Amino acid sequence: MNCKDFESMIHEIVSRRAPDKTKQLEALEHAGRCLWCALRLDEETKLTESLQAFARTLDVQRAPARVEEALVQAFRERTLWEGAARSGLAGKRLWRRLSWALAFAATVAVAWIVVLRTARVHPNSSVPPPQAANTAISPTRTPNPSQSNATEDPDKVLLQVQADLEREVPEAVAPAVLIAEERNEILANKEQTKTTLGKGEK
Amino acid sequence: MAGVTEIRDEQLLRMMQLGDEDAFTMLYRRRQGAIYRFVLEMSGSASLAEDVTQEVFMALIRDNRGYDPSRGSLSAYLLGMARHHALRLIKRDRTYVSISPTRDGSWDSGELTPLSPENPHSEMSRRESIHLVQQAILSLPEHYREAVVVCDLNEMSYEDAASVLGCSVGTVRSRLHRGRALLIQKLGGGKKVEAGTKAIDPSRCLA
Repeated sequence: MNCKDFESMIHEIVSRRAPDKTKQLEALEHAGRCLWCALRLDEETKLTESLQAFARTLDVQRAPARVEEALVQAFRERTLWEGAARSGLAGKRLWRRLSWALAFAATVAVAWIVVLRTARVHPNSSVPPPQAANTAISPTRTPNPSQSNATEDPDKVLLQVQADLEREVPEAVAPAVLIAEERNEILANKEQTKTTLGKGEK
Repeated sequence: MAGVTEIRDEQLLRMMQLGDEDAFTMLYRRRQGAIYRFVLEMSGSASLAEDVTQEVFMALIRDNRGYDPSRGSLSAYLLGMARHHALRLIKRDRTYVSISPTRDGSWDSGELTPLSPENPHSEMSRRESIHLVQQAILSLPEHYREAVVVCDLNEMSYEDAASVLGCSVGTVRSRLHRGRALLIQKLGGGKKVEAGTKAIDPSRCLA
């Protein structure tokens, strides 16, 4: 070991932090042979003793009790605040879920009311009777035996259709009734024209 | 009680995070002394040491999830926080420039025992010596001072000191070496070679 090595590890030697005992013994052996290093070792040892004496005077130093009181109070308040914040967050989540549930229930209720009202206004609209529908659209095309003479007497056929419609599907086929009424009117006009023309020929 | 003292700092911190007041109190009582002394040694001001101790634990109460166990012990983490707060306050106040130990009553308020009746002279000499050491420490540049305070006064390992000071182990060693050399000079021991002996340049000494 030379003086450079000694100098580089002098603090470890004095504070007894040398990595191993062999190194420490080598350093002490070197200090026994080298005046400079012996003086350095003495200086460092004295400084370490002085620092340790100074540190001992401060060993009893503590923060005053009021600091602990203030901190414990702050800790309590913080814990309470965090607890309140957590419960507030849980309350918000619960309220949000409740709101969604209420909105869903309201939507279902509105939809149900709409369906009910629609069903009341058009009770059989979903399944219209085929006969009535066909009759309403084109009563003359229906090959009904009972109405085989309808082509011969359209007034009777129309009256029959109208009566049937009023009896069976008064509301569902209301447009068809209107059409039938119009047709009835046209036929009446036609009949009147024929009569007028017959009188003219005579 | 033995079982209580065996609880590690990290466990106390976890319990504290769950709102355990006793764990917080225990952690505070265990670590506040080192923090308080560290700032007192760094600044020489009891009021600043008190403020910093309170700030460190308040910060721990506010945000106790900043500690990473893989980066060092909780003690080193707290001292690192104390160093940060202390340097900030010291820079703000610059109160440490005045190194009178009695300016806020901190140094003579009971830490020194009464003079020994058997040997009052030696006791006075000891106190004088301690006072000189304290003044010498306070007059060191900050980065040397904190290395001396952490490694020599608090006897921390180089690794823990590096964690507290936020630098490498090599930097801690070099700062400590330089800080101690300055202290020796300030305390009057530097380069004192007996009469008739020439100062030896260690780089040339190959003994």
